[in-house]
Amino acid sequence: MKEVVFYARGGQGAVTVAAVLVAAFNIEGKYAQAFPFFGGERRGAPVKAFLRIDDKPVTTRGQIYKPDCIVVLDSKLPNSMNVFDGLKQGGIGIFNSGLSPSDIKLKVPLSKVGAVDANKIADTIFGSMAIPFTNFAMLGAFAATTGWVGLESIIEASKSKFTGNAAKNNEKATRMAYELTTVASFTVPELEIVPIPGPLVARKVKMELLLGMAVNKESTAKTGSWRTRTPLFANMVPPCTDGCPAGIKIRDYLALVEEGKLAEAVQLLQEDNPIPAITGRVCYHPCEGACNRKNFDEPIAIHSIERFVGDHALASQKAAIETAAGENKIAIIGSGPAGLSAAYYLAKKSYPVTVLEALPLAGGMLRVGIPEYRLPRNILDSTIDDIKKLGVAIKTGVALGKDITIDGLFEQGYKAVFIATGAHKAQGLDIPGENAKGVIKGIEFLRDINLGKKVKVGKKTVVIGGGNVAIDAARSALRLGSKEVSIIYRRTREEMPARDEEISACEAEGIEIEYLTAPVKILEKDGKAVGIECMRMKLGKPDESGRKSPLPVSGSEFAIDADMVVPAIGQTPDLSFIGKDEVIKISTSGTLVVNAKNLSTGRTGVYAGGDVVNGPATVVDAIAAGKKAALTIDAALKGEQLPELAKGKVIEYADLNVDYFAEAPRHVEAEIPAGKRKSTFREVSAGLDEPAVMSEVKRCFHCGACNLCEVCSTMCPEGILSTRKETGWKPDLDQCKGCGICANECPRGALEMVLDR
Amino acid sequence: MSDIKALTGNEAIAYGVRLAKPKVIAAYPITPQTTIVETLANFVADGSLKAQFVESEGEHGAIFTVMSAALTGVRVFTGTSSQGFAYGYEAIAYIPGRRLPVVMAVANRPISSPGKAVECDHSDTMTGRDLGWLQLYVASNQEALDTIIQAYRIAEDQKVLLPIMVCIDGFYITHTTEMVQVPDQKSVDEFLPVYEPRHVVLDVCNPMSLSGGGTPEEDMGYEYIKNEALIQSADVIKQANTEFADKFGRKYGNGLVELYNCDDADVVLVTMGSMSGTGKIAVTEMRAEGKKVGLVRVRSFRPFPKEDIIALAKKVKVIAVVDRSISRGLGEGPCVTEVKSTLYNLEGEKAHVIGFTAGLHSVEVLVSDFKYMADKAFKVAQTGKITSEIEWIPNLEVTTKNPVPVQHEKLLIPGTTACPGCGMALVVRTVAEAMGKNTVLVENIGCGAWNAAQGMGSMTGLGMPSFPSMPLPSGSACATGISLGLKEKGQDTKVVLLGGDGSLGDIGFTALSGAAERNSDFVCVTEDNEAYANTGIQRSGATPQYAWTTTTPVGANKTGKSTPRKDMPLIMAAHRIPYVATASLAYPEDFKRKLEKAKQMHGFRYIHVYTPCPTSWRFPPEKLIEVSRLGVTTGIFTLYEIEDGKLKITVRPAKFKPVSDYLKVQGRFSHLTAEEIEAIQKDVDGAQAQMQGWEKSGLSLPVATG
Repeated sequence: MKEVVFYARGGQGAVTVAAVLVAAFNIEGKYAQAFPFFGGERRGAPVKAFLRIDDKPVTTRGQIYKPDCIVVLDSKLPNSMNVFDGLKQGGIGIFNSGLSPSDIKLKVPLSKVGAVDANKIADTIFGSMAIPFTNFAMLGAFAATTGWVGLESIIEASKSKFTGNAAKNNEKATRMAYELTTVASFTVPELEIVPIPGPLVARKVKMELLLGMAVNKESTAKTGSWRTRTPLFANMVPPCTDGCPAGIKIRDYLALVEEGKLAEAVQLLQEDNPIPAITGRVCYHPCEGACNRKNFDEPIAIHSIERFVGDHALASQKAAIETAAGENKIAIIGSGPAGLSAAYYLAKKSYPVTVLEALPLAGGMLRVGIPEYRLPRNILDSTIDDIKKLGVAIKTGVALGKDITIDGLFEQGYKAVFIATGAHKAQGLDIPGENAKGVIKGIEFLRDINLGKKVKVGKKTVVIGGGNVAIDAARSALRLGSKEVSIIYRRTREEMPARDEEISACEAEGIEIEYLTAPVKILEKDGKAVGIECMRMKLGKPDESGRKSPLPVSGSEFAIDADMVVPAIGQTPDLSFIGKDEVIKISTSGTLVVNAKNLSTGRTGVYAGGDVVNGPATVVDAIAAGKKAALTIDAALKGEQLPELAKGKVIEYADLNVDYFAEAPRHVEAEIPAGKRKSTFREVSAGLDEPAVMSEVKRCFHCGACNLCEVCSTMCPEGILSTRKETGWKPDLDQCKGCGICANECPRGALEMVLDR
Repeated sequence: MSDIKALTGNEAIAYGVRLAKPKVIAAYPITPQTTIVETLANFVADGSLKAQFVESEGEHGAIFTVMSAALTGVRVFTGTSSQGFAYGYEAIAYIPGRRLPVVMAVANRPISSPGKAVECDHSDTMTGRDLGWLQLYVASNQEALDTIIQAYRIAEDQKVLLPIMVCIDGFYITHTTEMVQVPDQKSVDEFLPVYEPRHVVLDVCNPMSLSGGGTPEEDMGYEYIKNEALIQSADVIKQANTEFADKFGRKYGNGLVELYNCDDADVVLVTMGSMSGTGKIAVTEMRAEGKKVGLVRVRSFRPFPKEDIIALAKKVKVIAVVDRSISRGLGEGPCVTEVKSTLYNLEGEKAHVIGFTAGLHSVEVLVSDFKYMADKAFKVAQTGKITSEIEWIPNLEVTTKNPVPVQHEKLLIPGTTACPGCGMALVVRTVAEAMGKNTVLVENIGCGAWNAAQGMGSMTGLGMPSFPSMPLPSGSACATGISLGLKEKGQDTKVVLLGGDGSLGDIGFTALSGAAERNSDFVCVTEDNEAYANTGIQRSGATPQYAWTTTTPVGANKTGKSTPRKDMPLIMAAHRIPYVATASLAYPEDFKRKLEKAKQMHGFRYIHVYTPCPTSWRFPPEKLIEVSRLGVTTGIFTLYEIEDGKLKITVRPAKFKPVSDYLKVQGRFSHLTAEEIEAIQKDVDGAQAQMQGWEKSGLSLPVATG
């Protein structure tokens, strides 16, 4: 007689496997009997099944204590139960394992070891490693290893028990495993069996029992061994952070605001954004577009919270440093958001930083591109002052290529140069009449206003273009007294690159936008602009930008009156500072070429970022570039490599359990009414006050984060999850059965179940 | 043509039953008998067995149901085990007096045991040995099938007309898979003709009253003929065994006993049931050593094979009887007692008799144990002296001690036997934490009370005093007694009864209703998982319509449960008790508040917790709370409380989701058609309208006056 013990988990069907073998051996004229160990057959709990095979009918009944063969159906079981218990020396071991047979740790010398990765086979065939699917693979391994029964007999036997798809898949798994099983044979010295003589003695059992039937001992069972998957608090990325070009840890600083820890919130926010008071006002906040709450009610007003935190940062007292203590001097060309950002992070790392600015005032596009009604000057000035307090020197009126050269900077002892000169050169319309009096390019118009020049506007101003500069120019013209301001744009509102809320604000102020209209020529009288000849357009197929391309409608020419025409159709970097022999390359679109990974240019020690590399983009992109430059320069000067950061899983709306949330309206910033604001450069938006901010932060879902909400610990059936403040989220893995309720219920998708292999 | 199949003992029984073609089957699930009932339910569902299948609310009902069906003259079948045997005892005792040929399979399992004793021994059927039933103990799966067919033939014989228990060892046979010859229907029909009763039946053409009894003398007369019939049934058993062998080629000794190597034996071992096979191996091995030992397997314990025992006693020197049960107080097993009493008045030279008590509670009886017992018998044979008349195998050395005081940190101690994702465990933990340490928990056996609160390895999972009220119908009575006892001791300790929809709503409903009507002072928490999950997912009264369970399978002739669930909380409200509430795992605050409220009150307080079961309802364990929540948000379950008969809904979903959201995540509903889902939606809409209407009306539940 041969005796086999199967080790498995409750719900895995070890008994089914043994029963199929009973039928298989019968086909080959042998007798067999299968028998389960009863009592602990909970799903996942370690269980046993027994099989006896003989040439004559099997009459003995009961458990098998000294098997000739063991079959371990679950790959993790050898860790949690002694599968070698009683196994005869020189016996056979068959394992569900990805290891080769000779690498499997044996506690008893065996004559044969078979191994097959049944989980992998189940995964291949069923697309799941769920434990019941591994069984039929292990039947194939049984046939291949023992040679006691033929593969075809097993197939035939399982067909008598299962039909349809199940039967087909079972057969596939069995056959595949039969082929894939690797068997190693070993020579094991035979044990000499010495019969024990002498008087027969009865089996004896000693015990001490309680008077009355009682169980006083606490359970000490480590039911964690039942687990086939483990809850994990993983590095989950909230969509806001994922959507933010600067990767600001929005969720986490919002949580700090919620806890009333504003100083800590400032600190965390400024790890990725040194100028939050500015971005809180002018950033197009893609974070809000990515916010999961938008699928529930409305996104969190992240920009308003950022503005609040940023203003708090500006208002707090800071000590000023004259010059940073570090040795390696760094030069930054340009004091826009990219330059300021790089300066900030380098100064934080104690590098002496000098920022060189061509214009008379610092701030780059923040200063000369964005009107005051969107970004008050005191906010910009305080922000720059705060950066100066870190020991950053800003020299204005110094232009690269004119007042200084890169070679010169290195000669002066600068160890690295970061070019962040932006994109300040206006693109031309390339139509007749462009040079008439009364035609002023948008970016130049805004620059003149912001540098405090006296700017005269016409009675009837027409702005050409659909970007933010066009909107800003139109709204500024209105504020400077132009009676009638309109915008012409060759596509429709849908394609307009300007921020939606800017367009709405513009319209609210009475500025008309003519869509599907393109200028053909500027009409002049006596060298002065008097109007624009336009053409109607229609939309054709999408162009490279993905937007539908405008096509002229023939014969649709018409004229509009205008005594001031402001073309605002885009900017490019001014790269006149690049010499002929310079190794720094310029792209076909007129931007600097850098290695996107570390912003290095063709010249050692020279880096570039922001609009000068990207073309006109956003403040937040520039900030991100500045930080990247700072990190790269720091690493390069230390002779280190920039670490590659692994990105975690981004939490999507479907990952959340929104049943735990209630709808709550988004807080909206108050604005000066359109009628009142159009004659003043006062800031339009008032921001949110503290109570509103405190209420708004509570709306945050905390996607992918644990905020100790206790849902998981309340719902964990056996109460083995701790959500105490001191320890944070912590499961007792000795007892966790791996049910997955915590991960499924977590409102924030902060947990995931990881298959144990 | 017979067919050979790999079957468990329980499946073999079910195949035998199908071949016997009974018309009415009624049973209640109990481990280890359950899979007999489940297999039969599948046969009925797939149309291969044309019979009325009654999913009874308990053994008392099940066995009375088949008895009464037999009163109309149809062939019937039932099966039970252990505590179920005890609960059905009234019916079991009643049947022989009615002379009805009922066939009942009993999966042998300990009775009135300490612990839950999901084990094997003969102590259940032995309590019924004197009732007038025939008892046949089988030793293999094949014999189980064959004996069922023979049993009808024997029981229906005019000379017998008595019920038969076919006794199969729990687990050792019920759960063991072996190859079994399944005879063809035609041969079975020839061996077992259609049942044409010639005894008294309920018949409008012959209007007799089958009630009452006769004069005391007549009653004694009935006892006399019953006993005579039972004694004479031995010949019928033998004849059936012989004819069966002629037809099917298989025989079991002479039908009453099976002898193995007895011809020249000096010593014989006497066994019953599954251990006999192991005994035979010991005999074979000892014979090889030249020891003259044999084995007698007693197949028929009632009628007791006196003649065979006497014949044996004249031939051998020692008879060693191995009993798998014990007559407590006498100190030996029933079989050795019967053997001794059979031989007492036998004159002339006869064998010595010694006894062994072995294998109680599934303690294994090994080949080496049999050899030891045989050697003891040889010693008696050599010396002619009996040193110990009875011996326990293994020899036990037991000392007792008084319990030591204990303290527990947690109220639900992890390491329980609950499945991963068990809702019951969550209920137990929530109840324990809300009620606090000054509480006694009465756990009515079932998944929630047992597995969820029981530590692995026979240790406690509860950090508070608890009493597992093992017998299913007993919970409410036990809670009543405990609360009264504590009251008499002057202790202000809360008593909570935890039970399932099965134990409280079905089999234990009598006690529950009684306790409620008496306004007994305890909190009753029903963990409603809509099935008998502990025995492996059979339908309960709370199983919803259409749901798949192992006793309401889906097949050609069945589409899950055919009737709607009974509404326990409203039934309890009709008892006019102080507090009735429903709760859901997905709303723990609501649940806890209700527990706190009930804790402050006195009298009978009833909280009904909808507790999904991943294993039974066929959904992944991680979805426990999700399914619970969907139950409420789709309007299937309404969370409310009833005080003074007035209803207050405590959780109101803003908008009801379609019921399909709830149904589609559960495998037990995967067979539903669009029309059936639509019908459920309609039911739910109607029920919600009624509930809300009732609440709005402010009216009390109409109750009987007086």
